[in-house]
Amino acid sequence: MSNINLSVPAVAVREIRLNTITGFAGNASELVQQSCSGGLGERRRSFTQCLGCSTSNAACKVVLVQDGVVISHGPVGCSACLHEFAFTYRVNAPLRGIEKPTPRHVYSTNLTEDETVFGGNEKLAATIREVFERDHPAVIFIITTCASGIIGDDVEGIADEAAEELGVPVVAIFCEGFRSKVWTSGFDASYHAIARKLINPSRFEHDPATGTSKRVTRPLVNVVNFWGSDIFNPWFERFGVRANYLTPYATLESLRYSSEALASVQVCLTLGSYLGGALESEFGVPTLRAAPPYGVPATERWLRALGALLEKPEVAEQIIEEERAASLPRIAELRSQLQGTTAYVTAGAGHGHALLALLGELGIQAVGAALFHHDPLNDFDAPEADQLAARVGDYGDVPNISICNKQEFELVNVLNRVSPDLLLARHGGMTLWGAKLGIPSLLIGDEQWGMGFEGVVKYGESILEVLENDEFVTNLAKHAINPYTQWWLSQEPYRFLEVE
Amino acid sequence: MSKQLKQIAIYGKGGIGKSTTTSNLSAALADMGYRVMQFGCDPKADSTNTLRDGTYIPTVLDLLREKKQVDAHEAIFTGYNSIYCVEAGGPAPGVGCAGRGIITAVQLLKQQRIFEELDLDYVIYDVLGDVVCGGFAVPIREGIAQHVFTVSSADFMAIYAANNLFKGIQKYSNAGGALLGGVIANSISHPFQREIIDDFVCRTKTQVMQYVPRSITVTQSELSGKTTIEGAPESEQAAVYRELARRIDEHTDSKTPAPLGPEQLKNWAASWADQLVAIEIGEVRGEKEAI
Repeated sequence: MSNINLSVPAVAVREIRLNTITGFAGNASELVQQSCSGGLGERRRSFTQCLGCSTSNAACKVVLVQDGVVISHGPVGCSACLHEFAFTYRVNAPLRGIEKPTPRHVYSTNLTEDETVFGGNEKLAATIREVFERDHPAVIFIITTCASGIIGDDVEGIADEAAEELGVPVVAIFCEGFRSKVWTSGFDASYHAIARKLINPSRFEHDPATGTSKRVTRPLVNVVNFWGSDIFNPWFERFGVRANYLTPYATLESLRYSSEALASVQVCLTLGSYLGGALESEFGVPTLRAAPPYGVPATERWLRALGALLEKPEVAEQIIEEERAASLPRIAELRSQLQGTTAYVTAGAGHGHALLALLGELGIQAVGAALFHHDPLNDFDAPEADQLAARVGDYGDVPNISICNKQEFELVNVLNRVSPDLLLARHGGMTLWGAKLGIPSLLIGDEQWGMGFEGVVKYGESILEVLENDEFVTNLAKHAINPYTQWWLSQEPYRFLEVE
Repeated sequence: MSKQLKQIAIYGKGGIGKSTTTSNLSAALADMGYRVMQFGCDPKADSTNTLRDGTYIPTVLDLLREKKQVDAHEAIFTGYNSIYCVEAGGPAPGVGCAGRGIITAVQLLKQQRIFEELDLDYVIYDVLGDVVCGGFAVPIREGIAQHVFTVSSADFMAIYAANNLFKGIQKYSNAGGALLGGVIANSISHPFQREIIDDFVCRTKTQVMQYVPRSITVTQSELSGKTTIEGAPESEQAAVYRELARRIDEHTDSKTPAPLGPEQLKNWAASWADQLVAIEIGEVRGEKEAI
């Protein structure tokens, strides 16, 4: 049964909803097999370094809504890192045709000792009014923090009252960091609130052809994504539809009518699972049941699934034929050039699987991956959309899969041990360990960039370039001081993972 | 197809007889044929004891402490006449945050759609004492309970607690929170106690749902781990609880109360103090006050 329940203000966290884990060491096939059988257990760490916070992931999904503003209801430190999304918004805006990206407005209620004792409700209400006066946004998002969650402020009630008073939606998002060790629960918190408060209920009209009522639709396909290149519209145009990008670069209006899209697709299962699931189970918008299009077989399956869903299978076949002709020869060349190369991956769950697929397609031997968490299930109950299972099926197993929420001590130990020719990453800050160890490292933040046939070519060419230009990392390694001791580097990397 | 689930929160000062009243109410409603859940929101976790022969049940928060993923069914136990018993539980005295405990426990059950699944007619929250922090206000917020009843004796400290609760209800009344159904007057053995409560409800614009006398039958039943409804069904006291249940079942429209301000409350209590002294010394003041 779906664990999506829009009648309650707070989303159920991933540990509860999807049995998500943050500790595992083994092969990809073991992880897939244990996930499918329901036998995947969490291996806890008796020692950990840093962790991300759900509030930041929640912010990520709403700071980038074009005409919204965000209020962090908590001590000012909880919003200290949120300015990074202003940067992300600005630099990625041109890729979505936004010529003049407006400044991002992120506020904090700056809860102090006084409010944690006497309650922050009034301060929140006053902040909402102040923010409305200053910015007149189309929508105001409130993200909660540990402090407001513990003192039990009535954030939902205050938001609803303000919405009525101001005449714009005010959306309470419950993303207290202490509720989940899986920071992607923050994405779900934002999606949950958006689905509850912003997305229009589906409308139905009589269909004379069948004599039944059918959902009113527009020629749109929702794309649940972060940011990055618009890879989808050139494909979608062939099917006569457009991409409705959610939730970064969306507007209040485009969020509202996402319930009228023909379908939803995901760039990354771990990112889009909840919104895709909610749009399907609560609004009737079907989610595409195929792993995202990374590597040739997945791209073909994905295009065919899209063709079937949009009832234009012939268009999918045409695209596949054209793109095969355009890219397969170059992919074959790249494969022969990259033969014998080894690579290690570090990224979030879904995109990490995507990078492993790209390595498989390019004939590069994946010698391991540190992925930030693992969801054995998704929110629309589609095992066929599992990206890691697809990777294993298409290109074979991957050893040394570590589910590791950015525990750098583990990463350094493993990298030192497997000593790959290349490190692939998606998150800022993760390639520095490769560089310090003299491993050529490539960081691509744009998830869409590697999609489709062309994405394989682009990745292959970039990897060749990085491998050929290794002077910087070679020199850096000579001068870098490794903060970890020889003792630690000689230990088994998963020493602090509890034995099952 | 779906019947209307009635969600009720019972509040009152600690030790005033909330759990006794709530359990008897649950038992009486179950006897009327309703499917009832009693949800104890007190870290002591003893709200449902008399529905289960005096035994304690594992609490939602105990289970959450043991493992991260809790199936809400594991925290639901059946008691007298198939009443579903749940205890939120909470931290040991002096540590942690009991308020957050209530938020966490209520969320868990709501997220897993337990109330719908069990096809309940009534969920009755038995909530600890004063609304001391945000967490204790959860059952009256966010449309969780529709009706609040407060248990109070004629003791002034109990009335202060009730007045405080009225402030909480008034605060959330505009935001779709629960409204006040009325006061369950407990331990009412003397006419003057009845007058104090009547005067209080009149000033705060609410009503008395039932006058429950102090009774040895309640104590006897509780000592054998039972509600009065179960332990002494033929007693007068059981009839009092059954009447309370009938009235609550018929009750539909709750209202925003008008709590007394600090000065009003003080003056009101002082005026009663004078009258009580007069009663004590046998002074006859006129027909109304003559006891």
